[in-house]
Amino acid sequence: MDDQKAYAIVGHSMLRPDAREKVRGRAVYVADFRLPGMLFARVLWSDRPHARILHIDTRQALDLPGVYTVVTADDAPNTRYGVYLKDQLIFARGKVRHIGEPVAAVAAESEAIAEKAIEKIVVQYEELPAIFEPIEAMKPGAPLIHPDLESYEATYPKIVKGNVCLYTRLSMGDTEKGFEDADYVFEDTFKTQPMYQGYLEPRGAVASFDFNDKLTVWTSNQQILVCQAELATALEMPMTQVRVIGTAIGGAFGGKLKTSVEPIAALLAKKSGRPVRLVLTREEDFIASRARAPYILRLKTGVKANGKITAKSVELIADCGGYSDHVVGTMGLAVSFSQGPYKIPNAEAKGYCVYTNNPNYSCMRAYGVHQMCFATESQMDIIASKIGMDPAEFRRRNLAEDGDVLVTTQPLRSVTVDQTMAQVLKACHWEEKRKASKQRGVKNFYGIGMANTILNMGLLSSAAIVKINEDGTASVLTGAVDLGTGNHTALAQIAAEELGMKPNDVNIAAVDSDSSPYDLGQIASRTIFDCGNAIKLAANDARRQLFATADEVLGAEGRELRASEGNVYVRDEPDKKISIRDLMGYRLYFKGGPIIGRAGWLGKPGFDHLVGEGYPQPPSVTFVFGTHVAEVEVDVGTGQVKVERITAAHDVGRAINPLGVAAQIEGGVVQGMGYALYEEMQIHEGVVQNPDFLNYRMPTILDAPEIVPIILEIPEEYGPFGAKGIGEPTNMGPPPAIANAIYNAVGVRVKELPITPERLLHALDDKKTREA
Amino acid sequence: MQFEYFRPQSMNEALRFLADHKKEAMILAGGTDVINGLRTGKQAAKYLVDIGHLADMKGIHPADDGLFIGALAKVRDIERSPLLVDGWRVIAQAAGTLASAQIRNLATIGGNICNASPSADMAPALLVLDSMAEIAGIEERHRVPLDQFFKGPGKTILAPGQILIGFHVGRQLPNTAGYYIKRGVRRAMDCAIVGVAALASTSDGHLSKVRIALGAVAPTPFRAYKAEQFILEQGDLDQTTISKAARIASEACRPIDDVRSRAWYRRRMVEVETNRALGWVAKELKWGEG
Amino acid sequence: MKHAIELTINGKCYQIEVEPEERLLDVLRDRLGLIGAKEGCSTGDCGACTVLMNGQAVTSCMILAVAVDGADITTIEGLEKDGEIHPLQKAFIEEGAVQCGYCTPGMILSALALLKENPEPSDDEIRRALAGNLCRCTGYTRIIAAVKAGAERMKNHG
Ligand code: FES
Ligand code: FES
Repeated sequence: MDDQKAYAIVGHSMLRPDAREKVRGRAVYVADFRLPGMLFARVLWSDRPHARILHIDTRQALDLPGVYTVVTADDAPNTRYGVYLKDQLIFARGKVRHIGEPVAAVAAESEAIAEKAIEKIVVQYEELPAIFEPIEAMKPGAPLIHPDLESYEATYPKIVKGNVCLYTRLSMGDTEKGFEDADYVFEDTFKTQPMYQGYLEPRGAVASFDFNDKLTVWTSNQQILVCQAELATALEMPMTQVRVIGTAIGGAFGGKLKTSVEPIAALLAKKSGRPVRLVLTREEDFIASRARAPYILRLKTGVKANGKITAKSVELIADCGGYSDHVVGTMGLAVSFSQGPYKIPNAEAKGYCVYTNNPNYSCMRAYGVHQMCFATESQMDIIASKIGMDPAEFRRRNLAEDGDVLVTTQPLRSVTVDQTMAQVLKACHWEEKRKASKQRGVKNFYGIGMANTILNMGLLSSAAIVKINEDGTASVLTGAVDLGTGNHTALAQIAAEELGMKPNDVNIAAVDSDSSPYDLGQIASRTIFDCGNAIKLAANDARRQLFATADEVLGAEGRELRASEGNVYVRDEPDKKISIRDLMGYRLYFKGGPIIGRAGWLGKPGFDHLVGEGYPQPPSVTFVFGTHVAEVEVDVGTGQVKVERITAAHDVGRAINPLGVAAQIEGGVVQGMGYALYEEMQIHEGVVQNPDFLNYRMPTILDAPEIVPIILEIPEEYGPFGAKGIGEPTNMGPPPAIANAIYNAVGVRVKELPITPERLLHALDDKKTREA
Repeated sequence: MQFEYFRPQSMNEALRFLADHKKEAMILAGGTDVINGLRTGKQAAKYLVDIGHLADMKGIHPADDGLFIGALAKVRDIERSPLLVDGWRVIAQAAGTLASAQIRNLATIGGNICNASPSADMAPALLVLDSMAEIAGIEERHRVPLDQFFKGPGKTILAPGQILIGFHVGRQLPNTAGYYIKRGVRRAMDCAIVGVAALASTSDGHLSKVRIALGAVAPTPFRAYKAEQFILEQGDLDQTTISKAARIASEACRPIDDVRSRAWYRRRMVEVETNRALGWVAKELKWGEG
Repeated sequence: MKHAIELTINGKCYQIEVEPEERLLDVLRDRLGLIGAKEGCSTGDCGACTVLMNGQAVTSCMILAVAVDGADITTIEGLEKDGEIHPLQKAFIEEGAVQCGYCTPGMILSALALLKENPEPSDDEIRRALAGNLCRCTGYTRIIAAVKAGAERMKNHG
C-alpha cells in the first residue's frame, strides 16, 4: 500500500479552477454560442408512435420569409448507425417508430421563424399497430417494429427474434441443483421506471462547414471522440473532415452520449451553407430523450436456513423503445452483476432487450447495474426478514471475496465491500437504530435500511499527450471533457503529481477532436481510472525525458532524481536542483528539443474469455464497491416518505481530490433518492405525460436529505495512484436502501419504483387487508 | 406567441379597451400563468392588456369591514404582510406554499384566482374567509362571494370586458384560527395534489363558525358545506367529530386521475388532510382544554 | 409592433426596442449578451434564469420585457465590483458548491436576494429561499454551506 503522505498533490482537496468563470456566469455552453451568420434550427418530431410516412410536404415551410432550409431523410445518407446495434438513422425514413423521432428540421433566421416553419410541414402518415408493453412485444405475432432487424449489423453475437434485439444468457455452476439444496426459494419481480437524466442544460449543438467542406461541431456531448466517429459514419464522411469541439457542459449523466442533435445540425448547416445552432427546449429534450430504460426484473434465489445463498437465477426484460441505443449495453452489465457483491455458487442470468413504440430509451448513471441493484438489494432484505436474520448479518454471510466468480465467469478482484459495509454500519449506529422503536408520534414511523453496490471499473481506451511548455508549465491533451464533475481538476492533479509541478501549472486543454487524442468518453465512471492512467503514463513519459536532461545538466550521474513544485533535484542532495523552466530552455535552445509525453491506455483485465450467449460487453478491468444506509420517516396517513439521512461509504481506491469525491457522492445520492421516490417519465401510449420540471419531479433543495459521505481508500493496483472511479455507484445505493428502510419502518415492501406516496399507501392498505 | 401589447394608464382606460375588444383581449398581471399559456399555445390573444401597474388594484389595505386585498397584490407580499395575522393568517400561510420565491415575487393573487386552476393555492384560503370578489366592468362594479366565482377548470364568471379588482375579506372573530395544508409529492415546487383550508371561530366557548375549503379535487376549488354543517351541528371539534367531518368532506369531492395523482389518492388525502387541518385549528383554539 | 423600453441593468441604463413577445431573458441573453442568465426550462420551474428585479429574485423566462419598462435589473454579471467578485461568489467557489455551473448564477442570485433581507438565515430559510432553483449535480449540501459562508463574508465586508 502506498503511503498517502508521499503525495504532494494527489489526495489533497483542491478547488476547481473552472468554478470561477461559472460563478461569474461566463462559462460558454452551447446555447451561449454564436457564430457570424448563424441560423437557428427547430425539429419536427414524430407525433405518432408507429406509422408509415407516406409523404412529407415542406413547400409551405420553405416559402416562409426567413427560412433557409428544410431537411428530411431525403437529405441524409441511408446508413444505419448505433453503438451496439446499427439500427438508427438521423431522420425517420419510411416510418416512425416512436413519438419524438426526428422527421424533419428547419434552419431559419430565428428560432421563432423556424418554429413557425415546423408547423407548416405537412406529414402524411398511415398509422401502424403500436405496442407499448415489452412483454406483449415479445409475443409471436406482435407487430414488428424493425422488420429488418436480422440484417442489422451488431458489435455483439446477435441473437435476435421478432422485437427482441438482444438475448443473452450466462450461467455458472448448476442452478437446478442449487435450488434443490436450498431450504427456501424466493421469487420476486421488480419493476423500474424510465428516468430522465435531468441535466439542467438541454442538449444542443452548433454546426458549421468551411469552404473545404470540413464540418465543425460544438457540442456539450460527453463523448467527443465517439461523437466524431458516429457523425462521420452517419454522414458518410471521413473522420478527417469532421471536427468536434466540446463546450462547457451543463450536466449529462448518460443523457449526452454518442450523437443526438449533432447530425441534424450538421445536415442543416450543410444544406444551408451557414452555421446552424440547434438547442432543444426542455419539452423537446424530454420527448426526444434517452432516458434510463425501464426494466422488469424477475429474481429467484435459493437460500439455506443458515443464510447461505445456494443459487440465483434472474430474468431481465428491458424496454428499448423505438431504437436499441445503449439499452443493449445496460443489459450486458445488468446480467453480469446480477449476483450483486455476493458469493453465489450457482447462477444463471437471462436478459432480453425489446423494441416497443415507447420513446427511445437508453442509459443513465450506473447503466443497467442500477436497475439490477434495486432488485438484488431489495430481495436481500426480503430474504433476511423471512429467515429472521438481520439484513447486515445476512449480507455478511454471503459477501464475495477476491477470486469469487461472477456469472460471466470473471473472477472478482479488489473486493472491499466488507469494509464499506463495516464502516457505514458503524458510522450510523446500525445495531442500535435497527432495534430502536419505530413509532414517532401517531402516524410517523422511523426506518433504517441498507444496500451494497458493485460496479465494473475500467472501460476500453484513453490516451493523453503531455506537452511541457517553455515556461515550465504543462498542457495536457486529452479527449476527456469535464461534465461538471470536476474531473479536469483531478486529472490536473494526477499530471502535476507525476510531473512534480504545482497543480495550477498544469492545464487540461479544451477538447477538440482535431488535436485531442482518443478517449471513450466521460461515461462508466471511467475518467479518473482510464483517462487518469493515460495521463499518468504520458506525464511519466515526459518526466523521463526531463530527468534525462536534468541528469546531464545537474551531473547527477544516474542518482535518483525527484521533481516537485516545478524543480528537479537529486534525491539525496536536494540542493542540486534546476527548475523545469530552465530545463526547457536547455532543451529547446541547446540540446534535446521539445518534450512531448504520450501514452495510450487500454485497460486489460488479464481475463478475456467471457462465457455466454449473445453477451455484448467487454470484461471489467476491476470492480468498485460501496454501501449506503438510508434513514427515513414514513407518514402512514399519506404514504409520504421523508429521507432524513443517507450515509454512503465508497471505496475509491484513492481520492485524488477528496472534495470532488464527496461532491460526487452528495449529488449522486440525491439523484438516487429522486429515482427512489419522485421521478418517473410517465408514458401513456408512447406519449410523455410530464415533459416539464413541474410534473417530472426532481428533488429540490427542500427535499435533499442530510448526506454523510465516507470515503475509503484501499489502493487499486491498476488505478492511477491507486484510484478507482466514483461517479456512478453513488446513485445506485439510495433506491434499495430507501425501499429497505421503508420496510423496516412500516413492514411494507414496494417492488416498483418510484415509491410514490400513492404506491406506498396502496401497499399499506394491502397489508392491512391481509392482516385483517 | 404573437400579440399586440397594450398598457392602459387607468382602470377606466383598461375597462374601455376590454369592452371594445372583448374576447380578443387577454389580461396580463404577474404573467406567470399567461406567459406559459401563450408560449405553449394553450392560450391565444390578439391583445395583451397589461394591468400590472394599476395602483388601485395593488396592495393590502385595512377597510371598514375588514380587509381589501388588491387583485394585483403579489403573492410574496401577501406571504409577508404584517396585516395578515390571527384569523387572516391562513391567507399568508397559503401564499407561502405557492411555487418558488421567484414566482411568488411575480405572481398576483388575482392571477392565481382568475386562472381558475382547481389547484390554485390561494383559493381555499380565501374561501374559508368568506371572501367577496370585487368585479368591475365598464358600467358597473359588484361583489360576488368567491365560491360563486369559479365555473370550471380555467373558467370563471368574469365576462369578457370585466376585471377582478380584488377581494374583500371580512373581519374575523377574535378567536379564529385557520390553516392550509398543501399535499404535494416534493416538499416544494409542486402543484397541490390536494389543498385543504380549515378555519373555525369560537365565542364564549362555543363553536360559532366552521369553514372547510378544498382544492385540486373537483373542477373548481369549493367549500365542503356538509362537513362544515356537521361540525356545527355537533358543536364540537373533538377527534370523533373531526374524523367524521373529514370523511364527509372526502365524500364531497370529485377528483380525477391525472399526471400528478390518482383520484382515489386525492380523495383519501382530502380525508387525511382535512382531519389534520381541523386538528391543527382545534389545537390552536385550545378546544377541549378547559 | 415594437415598443421602446428603458431598463437599468447592472447600474447601466439601456433603451431598447422590443417585440411584445420578447421575454426579459431573451433581452438579456440575445440583445445584451448577458449569458449568465441560463434557460433551463422556460416554464418557471428550474430557476436557472433567475435575476434580481428591483432587488427581488424573479425568473426572467416568466417576464415579458415590455411589461417591466423602467425596472432595475441585476444579473450575475453585475455582481463584480472593480474586477473583484462578490463575497457570495467567492463562497460558492470555496465551498465546492459549483459543479456543471448551469444552475449557479441563478442559485447565487436567489441567495443574494435572501441575504439582503435576512443576513443570518437558518438552514431552513435558505432551503425555502432556494427551493425554486433546481440543481442536478451537487445534492445541495454544499450550496447551503456556501450561502452560509457567503453570509459571513458579506458581514465582514460591511
Ligand atoms: S428557465 Fe426560467 S425557470 Fe427555468
Ligand atoms: S451544478 Fe449542475 S445543476 Fe447545479
